Amino acid sequence: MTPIRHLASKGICCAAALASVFLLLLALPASAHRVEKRFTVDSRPVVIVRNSHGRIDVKSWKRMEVLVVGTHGSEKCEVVTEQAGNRIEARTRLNGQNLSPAEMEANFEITVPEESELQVHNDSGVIIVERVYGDMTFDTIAADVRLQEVYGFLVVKMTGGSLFCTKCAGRLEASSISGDIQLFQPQLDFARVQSTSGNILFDGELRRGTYSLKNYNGIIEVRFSPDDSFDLKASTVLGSIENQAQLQSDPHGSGSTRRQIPRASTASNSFIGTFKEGHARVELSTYSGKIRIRPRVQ
Amino acid sequence: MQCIEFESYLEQGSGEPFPWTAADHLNVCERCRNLLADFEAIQSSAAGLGAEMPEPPERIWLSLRSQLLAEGLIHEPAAEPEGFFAQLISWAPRPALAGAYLGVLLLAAILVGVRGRIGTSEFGPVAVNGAEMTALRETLRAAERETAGVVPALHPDVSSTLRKDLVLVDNVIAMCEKKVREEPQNTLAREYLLGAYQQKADLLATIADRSARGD
Repeated sequence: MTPIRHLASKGICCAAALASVFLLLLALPASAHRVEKRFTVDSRPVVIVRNSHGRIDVKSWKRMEVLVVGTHGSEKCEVVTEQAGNRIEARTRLNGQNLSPAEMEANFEITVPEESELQVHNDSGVIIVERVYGDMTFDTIAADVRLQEVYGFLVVKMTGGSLFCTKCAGRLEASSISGDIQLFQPQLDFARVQSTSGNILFDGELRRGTYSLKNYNGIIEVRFSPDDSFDLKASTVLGSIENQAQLQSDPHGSGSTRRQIPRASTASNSFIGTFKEGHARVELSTYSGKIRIRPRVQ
Repeated sequence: MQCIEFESYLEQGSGEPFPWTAADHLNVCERCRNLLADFEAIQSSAAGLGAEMPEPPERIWLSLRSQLLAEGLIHEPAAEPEGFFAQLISWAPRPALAGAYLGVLLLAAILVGVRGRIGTSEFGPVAVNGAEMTALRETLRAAERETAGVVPALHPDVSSTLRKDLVLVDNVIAMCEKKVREEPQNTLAREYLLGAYQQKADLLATIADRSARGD
């Protein structure tokens, strides 16, 4: 390489390096808004999160500490935290008017003791919770909620958001207007699930507990296995019921396996029966949607 | 009996005569007597089935508001004037919005009461009469009129969801009302109609809450 070429090459490298540094500096303000707070607790904490838009991740660890990491891209959005005993609150405060969606966004990564109670409000975005044991409430408008391996009394109230629940245990009350609700491998004692136009999927053991799944339209699908044991009641006003379970007359005394309820007062289509001993109780209802009871594909 | 126990007894609305403990309490507690009078006034007006919803006394709003504030269910507007929803609040008159919010909460309470009275099973029979349905519908419409126009100022995802879902719930209400008109004794259809009213009340309360909170 000639000295001139060598110098030119060096110059290009320097320019590239300077450009990189310059770009990095430009990028810094976007990631500079980061708040990290640690709170020591001495027993099961109650963690309250209130956010307008963004992603909220909650995980657990063995420490008796709550770690809140909040990031936001705008100075018009502020993350505020406070502790009062075992109650930890983290929320966003929006300053100014006519904020753009990007200016409203704040994301949280929160780590809590395994046994913690959660109250999470997030208007839009997503909430993800893994391996936390305690009562939880989630309140969203457009945000989805994803729960994995959580246990407790779970209350999920959404408007347009969807719920995806994997290996959830305890009691569940979930409602959405236009979102889907999907329960995979649930180990619940009680579930009351309602969506107006969303689909509802229940894919798990039906050997104990009470399950009430209800929508206006859309599909309600329950997947069962040969080892399951449940009483079933399925009702619809204008929809359809497709059942692939071999049901018997209800040994607990409810009568035939399929019937148009004969009372003149009711024109609804109803389906009642028992699978095996009928240990779990399953009530399905749709106004004009489809109810499907199908064997699980192994 | 304490006031709180009396209120809880009143909320259950069993229609049975008061037990002697409640009657004794009524004799000595003016506040509960007023509360009972208000409830009876509302009940009789609703049963009267006017096309217009009766306006509850001002002290009910004040009492409800203070109770909700005390329980942290609603909050005073943020002190700073530059709140995100300042523009929105100035667009929608605040007293109207507060009225709408409380109206919707009152409606939700009525619905919960009605549901409590009807039923045992999630899909059990609905024993709500036409007068109650009409009263609920009118309350809902009044609340909706006062909440109208609030939605567009929220985050785009949120406002579009609320707008879309309001339309969705309205359609459900229309379909269920049609079905109930055609088959007044269809209990499942009435159950869905009641559920749709409740959803709409919840939606309007959510909109009013997001606006009033100013977060």
